[in-house]
Formats: sequence, structure tokens, C-alpha cells
Amino acid sequence: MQDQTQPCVYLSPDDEEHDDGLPPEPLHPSQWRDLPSGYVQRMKVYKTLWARCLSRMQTLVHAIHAPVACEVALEIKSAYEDQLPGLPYHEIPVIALAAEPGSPIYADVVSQLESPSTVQGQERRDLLIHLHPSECPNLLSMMRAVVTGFTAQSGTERRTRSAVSLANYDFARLQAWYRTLDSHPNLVVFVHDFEQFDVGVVQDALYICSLHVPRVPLVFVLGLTSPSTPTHLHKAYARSTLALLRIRAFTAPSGQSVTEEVLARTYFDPTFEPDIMIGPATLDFLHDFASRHTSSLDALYTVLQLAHMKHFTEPLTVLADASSDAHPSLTDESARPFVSALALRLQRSTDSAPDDLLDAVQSARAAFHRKARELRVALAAAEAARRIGQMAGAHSVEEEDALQFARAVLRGRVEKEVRYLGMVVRKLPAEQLGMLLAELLALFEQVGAGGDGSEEGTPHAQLQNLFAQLPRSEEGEDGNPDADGPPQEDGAPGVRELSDALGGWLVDFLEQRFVRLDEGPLWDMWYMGNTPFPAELINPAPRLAVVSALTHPSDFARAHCELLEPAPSPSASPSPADPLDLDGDEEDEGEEALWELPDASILFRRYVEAGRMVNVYDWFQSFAVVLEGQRRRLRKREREAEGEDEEESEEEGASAEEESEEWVEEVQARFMRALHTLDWMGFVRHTGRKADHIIRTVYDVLD
Amino acid sequence: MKDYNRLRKTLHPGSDRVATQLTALLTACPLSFLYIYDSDCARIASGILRGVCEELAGESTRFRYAFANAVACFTPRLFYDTVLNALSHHTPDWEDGCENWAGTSVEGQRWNESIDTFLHGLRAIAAEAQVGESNGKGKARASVNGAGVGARCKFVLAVERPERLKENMSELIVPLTRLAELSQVDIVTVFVSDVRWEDIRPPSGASPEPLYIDVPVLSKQDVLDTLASYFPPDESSLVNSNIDPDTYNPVFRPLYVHFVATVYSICGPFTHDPHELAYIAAARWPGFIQPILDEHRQRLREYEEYLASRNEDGDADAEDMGPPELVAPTEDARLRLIRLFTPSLTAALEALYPRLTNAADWARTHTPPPNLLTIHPSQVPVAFRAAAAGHADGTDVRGVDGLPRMARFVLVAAFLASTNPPKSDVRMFGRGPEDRKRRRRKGGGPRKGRAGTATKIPQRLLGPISFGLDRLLAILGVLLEENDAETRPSAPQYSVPGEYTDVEISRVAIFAQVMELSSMRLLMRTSPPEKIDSVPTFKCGISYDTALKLAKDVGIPLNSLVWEGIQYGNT
Repeated sequence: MQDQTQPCVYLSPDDEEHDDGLPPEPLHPSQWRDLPSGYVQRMKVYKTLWARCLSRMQTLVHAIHAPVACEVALEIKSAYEDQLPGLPYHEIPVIALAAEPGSPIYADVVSQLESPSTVQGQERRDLLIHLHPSECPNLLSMMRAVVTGFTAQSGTERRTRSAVSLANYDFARLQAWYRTLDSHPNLVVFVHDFEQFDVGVVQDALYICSLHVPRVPLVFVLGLTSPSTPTHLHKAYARSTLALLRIRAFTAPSGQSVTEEVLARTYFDPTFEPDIMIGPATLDFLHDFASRHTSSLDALYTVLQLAHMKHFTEPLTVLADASSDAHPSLTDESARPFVSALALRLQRSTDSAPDDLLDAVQSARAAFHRKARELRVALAAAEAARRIGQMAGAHSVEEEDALQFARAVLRGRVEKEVRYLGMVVRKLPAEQLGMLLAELLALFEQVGAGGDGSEEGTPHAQLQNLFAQLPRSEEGEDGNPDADGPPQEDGAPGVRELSDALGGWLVDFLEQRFVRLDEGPLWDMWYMGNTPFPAELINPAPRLAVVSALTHPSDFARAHCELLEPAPSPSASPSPADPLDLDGDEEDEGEEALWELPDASILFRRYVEAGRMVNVYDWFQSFAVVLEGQRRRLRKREREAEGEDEEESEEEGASAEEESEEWVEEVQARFMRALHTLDWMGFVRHTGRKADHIIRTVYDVLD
Repeated sequence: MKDYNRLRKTLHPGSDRVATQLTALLTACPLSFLYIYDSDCARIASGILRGVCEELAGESTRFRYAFANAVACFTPRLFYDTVLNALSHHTPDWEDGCENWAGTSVEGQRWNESIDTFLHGLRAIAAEAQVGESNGKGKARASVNGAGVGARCKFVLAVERPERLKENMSELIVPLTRLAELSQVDIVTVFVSDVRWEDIRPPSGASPEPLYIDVPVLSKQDVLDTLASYFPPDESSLVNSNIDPDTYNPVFRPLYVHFVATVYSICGPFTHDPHELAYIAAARWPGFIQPILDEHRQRLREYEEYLASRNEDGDADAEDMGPPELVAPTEDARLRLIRLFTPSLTAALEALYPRLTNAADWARTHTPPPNLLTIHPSQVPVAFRAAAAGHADGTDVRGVDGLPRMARFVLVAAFLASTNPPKSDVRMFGRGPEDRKRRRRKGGGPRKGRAGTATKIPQRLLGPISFGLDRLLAILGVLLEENDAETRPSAPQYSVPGEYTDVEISRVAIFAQVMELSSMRLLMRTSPPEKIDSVPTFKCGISYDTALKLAKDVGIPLNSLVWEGIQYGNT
């Protein structure tokens, strides 16, 4: 049950109202060495860097979706041009577009449609409206949404005397409006969340539309989120309705393959340099979450954003962004702990000048990014070797994809794999060898890494040497302009030597480049490393957390108070938030007695022991008994503390009468408060029939 | 309008009797309520009626008609507007703010308020029509009572799909059937439906009995004639399509007649609906004619080569032979074509009748191999298969296997919860607390049914039963504990067996998964979503086959977990 305390770690007790845009400032154990306004400044840096990362991912997604979006847009535009002749009646063109909910592909399609198309010599821009399930609870509102949606777009809304004109849900109105248009655009209806629509309503609406095509050229684009075989259309709609439609199905690429591609090309692409490098723990979590729960892009973005936020809880990360020149002033006295912590990390004396420290940070940043870049290039090279090796029939050690390999590289556990790759390359036939060499050279050209080829000893130059030795076959590799060595004619033996050399080169190269990123100065500024991902924030178990908080309140209180305690000393003092003054030594023994718990917990403990229904009076009685015991013990403890036992008791006896009245009221009040707390948390359901009973909502409570 | 002319002409051969009957009834007979019943295809029956009306309206200016579709006119106001505008020959204009026909009356008169105003509107139209007829324009004087001089104007109001009136506007049925006597206008109400009057008739005899006209079932010849009539009359209809422009060349018309006869003979046992048959024919014809066009093109090429070679020879001016013309194939070739394409017609019926795909796409993906007629008959099936494989588009289909792992578990659990009776749960999924991990249920063995007792129909044939969310989660917990425990990331903090699973099934992602699946309609929510204080109930929305597939993917032995699978041994 230990990790059940996790979900509340970042929730400060009063975080309900924060509408100033920034989330409340969480307290962190490392706060003592933070800058005075460190949190705000780090958030600023975080926002810049995360925006950069997000826009990279969105660009990638956009590129992945582009072909399908283009196809759909083309299909919409030509929906009424490409008709099969000889059909008995006109069908409504319907495009069933299967995509994950909230997929950006709709926006892509819409932006494709924005550009006018030229049909039969005249320019035309199709008009479109969007329908959502909430707008269309019945046929009347759906038809109104369709009719007014289009007619409102022309901008020439006529004066209408509603009573004597056509109703605004009358299709004839749309027809009259369409007759006034010169360009004869297609009318495109985007139906979002199609599964949510009422089948009867849509069926009638489609029937009505089918009476008017092709005079009013409607095109429906149905956004489906369910799997496309068989489509929801075929499962839910009658054949008579399907017969009115010409359904074309499209599927937007989605799922795990897309998220992994986005991930790989954001963090492991040699041509892109992420500001904050992802760590293997986060990668593991992402992989597990995508395959297990949801592989939507939204989930990917959220997880990565959270990982970034977590990364920026470290005070030093305020210096992570190279381009931001608004560096916090380190000369202030209040920045002293920060500067000394930084100096300690850089192994300088704590009184070095802040500018020197900043320079050191700059060079550390450059070193880290160079290392990461080289790692990415090496990864790309290894990937090329793996791919070509597979083409030549070799199997990798384990069947794994590029991302898994990347994770292993980040963990530094790839020696075996690297040696195997070298062996595969040594056995490559001449043709594949040429391909690999050309690809590797192209890679180096592309990234311009490893020197420009002129210096001896850089990997690029070595590679060019090797390429120059490659025996040319007649098909002629169109290689590299630099590599213009004379073709050698020694055939197979030359190839053997060459592949040996290349294999050796590859192993050397990879071993040299596959270094651990969590070494070197200040690595944790730009690398998430192996810090575990706060999975509980993405996927909490709220009910279990609440139940265990009620059964073990002091554990939670302690965790909370540790969190709130800004002092560097980890020895936690008793929580001031505790409703009861608990002894520290008793607390440490784990299980407290029932009377030591707060009221709500006492009540909850009794609730757990009850049957399906709880008699409120009995509940109250047992609660009162516990409170009585509690009062007695507290009194006793008080007396022991004060050391005066004899006289007090007599006085007490005198005022017992009036006190007992007060006491009963207090017990009632505390009971009501605790009951309302439980009610508010949803543990209590009221019955209509038995006024003095409540129904439990939670049954199997684990201890 | 052209469509209807064509339809009428072509439909009349088969529906001659109905058409003449209708003409007579609408012109001469004083009856005011007709009911046309066509069990097969009311669309065709209303086509006939439309044709008759058009013809009559063309002959006499004193004949007006209106068609109202009870699905399209789903409120009384829509109905009144549609009918009155059609009878008054008024087309609402966007420039005028889509005003309805106002009549000659003063401003602000509206006819669409209630049945009363509607009747007044009818009378006003009748009066106007009559005045316009007898006096000509200019001298028109409104006479709302309609008791003018000269012959009265004849109106026809046809209501399509009147069965929908019953649910949408049941209060309209009686007035509509008595329209003539209520409005004092010479109007005939015609209901055209594929539902019998008995099923629509309002209770307690409030409506008069209609005159029934039953459209006879189309004979084979009628269907064939109808199908043949869909052959596009000119090439204008081919302008925008991406099929061969010669596909519907008039020389092929006789071949088309033979072709539709073949289509009928193969698909006829399954459907008589001419529209469906025409749909299949339209999808198959471009492929059917392709070999002949290929052959023709081959001949053209040969001719051009011949011309070229002759030009080289020097006698270019000798133009004794023109290019080969497109001709109908010989009897032999026709028989061969029909034999070649017969199997694909069955495939077309299977794919197109349930609209698993559409005709245009089917036509494209089932293009026959090029130069089919030159291929040896024994090679033909191979060639067909190769062509089909070439056309199969490689778009990745997002089937159920695209679902994440938890979604599959939830769906399988939902299938079990919907199929197994709740009281069997303890037997099926109950595990003792001491060996919570990995205790296989001992096979119960098929229960011996006593002779003479009625066999119970398996639940999965009766449809899913609904279940509460907590039952689903409990079953999901058992499935996860037994089939998913190994694949989870390790979590040393959970020491008690089963604790990890308990935490997993109470996580937010599981609830989110359930909601997402129900938004995809793979789970059907049976309790109202706005009620949040009771346990939500669901039904499973996937079939046995899908469940089996999903279960296999995640390694669940589904058949041994289905209650009836054990009981009957029918897995």
C-alpha cells in the first residue's frame, strides 16, 4: 500500500482555486537550494522548451497524416464527378473516416478543403459545416443544424418573417439558398463522433438528404472512432439506409506505430536536437502505457509534458535553455544556496564568480548536446546496419524495434548487440555492403557530424576511405562526390577485406559513441535519466487511495507534512494538521488504536465493519463509545502530564452534570461532521424507504 | 423531370394496368381516398403515380398535384408548407426570404398554423386556380369559398411513406383521409406505401375506407425491361466518370439485355428489387465489357500499324479500308463472356447487396485481367485471382486488433458478463482465497439434460444481457490475474497475491477505457448516462467471433469460460 500515498504528493491542500494560469507552487525537498523566484523562472524555461518539443511532434504527426488527409479532401472535392453510370438512383457520397478521437486529421482535411479547386474551368470552394452529437438530439434539430449551418455561411441572410416563410429546418430552404449560388460548391457535412448519434435520427436525415441529391450536392464525412471492420455504419444501420449511400472508408494512421514513430523521430533522429533528452524510464512507461491502455497522441503528449514538468522540479534546470538570455541574477544574497550548490556540482570553490559558473554551464551544455548528437548519429548508423542486415537475411539477436534498441542504448546494455551487428556487417555480400556504405556516408553528409571529412581519423574520413576501396560493380553506385577513388578490380577477396574493415569500424564507432548520457557534469539538466515517471498522476487509483487514506490517515498526514516541510532536515516533526495531538513514539509503531484516529476515520472503520446497510443510530452509538474512550484517555494523559490527579477529579465530579450535556452535543456535532465528510466523498447512499439507514457504496476494503 | 418521364415510359409495360386504372380514377371517379400498396418497392409505385400525375397535369391546367414524403415532412408545418407550395406552383425564393405561397389575401395570412388554416389554404388555392382558369389574369378576385363558376380544379395529394405519419403526426391521418369533405375542394388523397392500410388505420373507424390498389409483383420480363432501361441513353452521363467512354456504346445495348438476363437469373432468387439488380448490373458491366473493348483496341492498334507500314511502302493515298468499328460481339464471344463472369456475379451479390462496399469501388477492384478473351480458358481463374490481388488496396484497416491490450480484456470480460448468467459467476470465476493465483477450475463436464425437457437456447443466440460495472470489473480482475500477471511491469510494493490486480482494475485508465469503448459502441450503455448515483449498466456490443479473436490475442481460453460452452459442450 506504500505507493497509495503517491497520488497526493503533488496536491497541496488548498489547490482548488488557482485561476492565475500558473499551477500552485509545489514544495520540494530540494527547495532550500532554489532561487528565490526559481519556480516561476523554471516554469518559463519549461514552457519554451516544451513548446519546442510539442511543435516538433505535431509537425511529425501532420506529416504522417498528410497523405490520408489529401486523399480524403480529393475524394470530397470529386464526390459528384466520379459517378458510376447506370445506377438506378443517385447515392449520397459518404466518407467514413476512422481516426482516434480528437485526431488532428480533421483539421488537416479542413485546411485542405480551404484551398479552392478548379472544376470545369471555374473556381470553387466547397462549403462545410460540423455537426456534433449534442446539437442533434432529434431530427428537427439535426435538420436545422444542417440547413442553417449552410445558409448562414453565404452572408446574405435575408429578412425572414418566420411565420410565413419556410421553417428553418425545412430542406426546401437549403434548396432555395443553393439555387442562388453560382459556383455550385459541394456541401460538406462533417459529422463528429458519429457513434454517439441517435441511429433513428441520422437514418431519417440521410433519407431526406437522399431525396435531394444531386441537386443539392451534399457530402457526408463521418468521423468514426470505432474499429473500421466492420464499421459502425454496417453494424447499426439498416440495409435500406445503407442503400442510399456510397460509402468510402478511410483510416487515419493511428495507434502504437504512430506514437512510436513520433517518439523515435523526436528523440532519436540525427537531424533534430531535443532540448531535454528523454530517459529510459519514461520510455519504458510510454511503451507500456501505449500498448496497454491507450496509444492516442493525446496520451503521448500528456505523458511527455508531465515528464518535462517533473524534470523542471530540479532547481538547476533553470539554466537549461541556452537561448534564453534572461538568466536569473546569481549575485543576490538570496541566490547564495543555489550558487553554492551549482559550484559544488561543477567542483569549483563555492566563492567562484557567477559568470564563471555560467560559462562552465555553457560548456557543459555544449558537451552534453554533442554527446547526445553523436549518440543519435550512432543510433541511426546502427539502425541502417540492422535494416540492411535483415535484408541480407540476418536476424537480430532479439526481435525488437528501433525504439527498444534505443532504450537499451540509453541504459548502456548493448555490447552484445553491437558485436552482433559487427558480425552481421562482416558477412554482408558486396551489393548490400555498397548500400550500407552509401547510406552511412549519406547520413554523415546529412548531419555534417564527425568532422567534414578532410581530417584524418574522424569516422567520416575513415568511412570515405572504406568507400573508396569499394569495388565498383557495373550498375555503379552513385555515391559520394568526395569518394572518387579508382575502382578496384580484385572482386570477392577485396569485398571480404572491406567488409571486415567496415564491421570493425562499425563496432569501434558504436562502442565509442554509445556512451551513457548520465555521466559528465550537470547531465541532469538536460537528461531525464532514470528517474521514474510519476505514473500515479496519469493513471491513479482514486478509490483505493481514498479508502487507504481513511484507514491509515497518519501515514498520509506524515507524507503530507514531510512534503510541506521546507526544512532540509528530513526528520519530520509531528504534523500540525493532525486533529489530535498524537504522540510521536506511538505513531511509529504503525497501527494506531481506533481512538487515536480522526473522526471520519473512526466512522469509516465502523462503516467497513457493517453490513450492506448501516443503521445510522447504531453507527452513532458505536461512534459515541469510541469518543468516550478517547476523551477518557486524553484526560488521563493530561493529568499524568500535569501531575495533579487528586484534586482535579473532585472538581470534575461537580461539573459533570453540565459537562455531560455539552459532551453529548459535541459528540453529535462531530458525528454529523464526520458523516457529512463521508457523504461528500461518496461513501453513503441514502435509501428512499428506510429513513434511518444508509447503503454502503464500497464493500471489499483491503487492509 | 426527365427522369420521371423515362421511368414512366419504362415502368408502364409492367404496370400498365395500374397506370390506366390510376388515370381513370384520378380523372373521372369521385372517390377521394386511394391507397396504393406495393409490397416490393413503394418507390416504384410512387414513380408510376408521379408519371400519371405529370401526364394529367400536362394535359389539363385544371389538374394539380403535390407529393409529400412523410419522412421528410416530419412536422405538420413542413407538411402544410410542402403541399400548399406544390399545389399553388409556388417555388420559395431565397431572395424573398423563402416566403411561402401567400395567396391573394392580405399580408400576414399564414396557412401552416393548423389543419384549419391548411384547409383554408387549400380552398384559397382552389379559388385562385379556378379564377385564373376562367377569368384569366388581372381580373382575379379572391373567393375563398371556392364556389365560383366554371369547372372545378382537380387536386391530388400523394403521401409517400404514410406509415411514418402514425408515429410523427398521428393527428393528421384522419383529416388527410377526409380531406375532400373537410376542405370542400375536389381533392384526392393517395397514400403510397409498402405497409398495409390495416397497420396504419386510426382506431374506431374515424377514417373512411380507401379504394385499394395493389400493385402486382413485377414479372420477370418487367424486371428485365426495367433493368434494360437503365442503359444510359446517351454518352452525356459518362462525361465525369473514370470508366471507359465506350462502355455504354449503343452497339452494346443488345448485349446488355442478355447481360441483365444473366444477372437476373443469378441474383433473382435472392432479390426481385429492380433497383438492387440494377445496382449489381451497373457494378459488373464495365468489367464485363472490358475484354471486348480490349479486343477492339487491339484491332485499332493493328490497323494503325498496318497504315504505318503502308505509308512506309509509299501508297499512302489508297484509303480503301477505314478503321475498324466497334461492333457487338458474336454469339460465341457473348456466351464465353457470360460463362467467364457468372462466378463473379455471385460475389457481387454477396458484397453489394449488404453494401459491404459500393458499386463504384467494387467495379474498380474487380476489373478483369487485360485481354481476357485471349487467355486460355484453363488460365482464366488464375488470371482473375491475379487481377483481384493487384487491385486489393493496401490501405491498412484498423480492425479490432488495433485496440490496446486493456481494451481487449475489457471487451472479453464484457462478452463473458453478457453471455454467462450472473449466478454462474462464482462457479466460473470463483477462486479460493488460499490459492488465489493460478487455480484452474476443474471442468464441470456437460450437464446431462433430462430427456423430455425443452432445450434452452444458448444466451449468445438470444443476445447479450446487461450487466453492472462492478460485475464487469470483477470478471476483468479474474481475467487479468490469470492471463496478464506476467506481462505487467514488476511492482515489488504489492506483496499480497492479487493485490496488484486489485489496484490495476481500480485505476482511472480502466474506467476511461470502459467509457471509451462505450462511446465506440463496442459496449452499449443501458443505463442513462445522466444518472450518476447508481451503478452504470452495459451490454456487450461485439459478436462471438470478435470476442474469440480478441481472447485469442491476449491468451484467454474463452470457450472454457463461457457457461454454456460447458453446459452443452458446443464450443
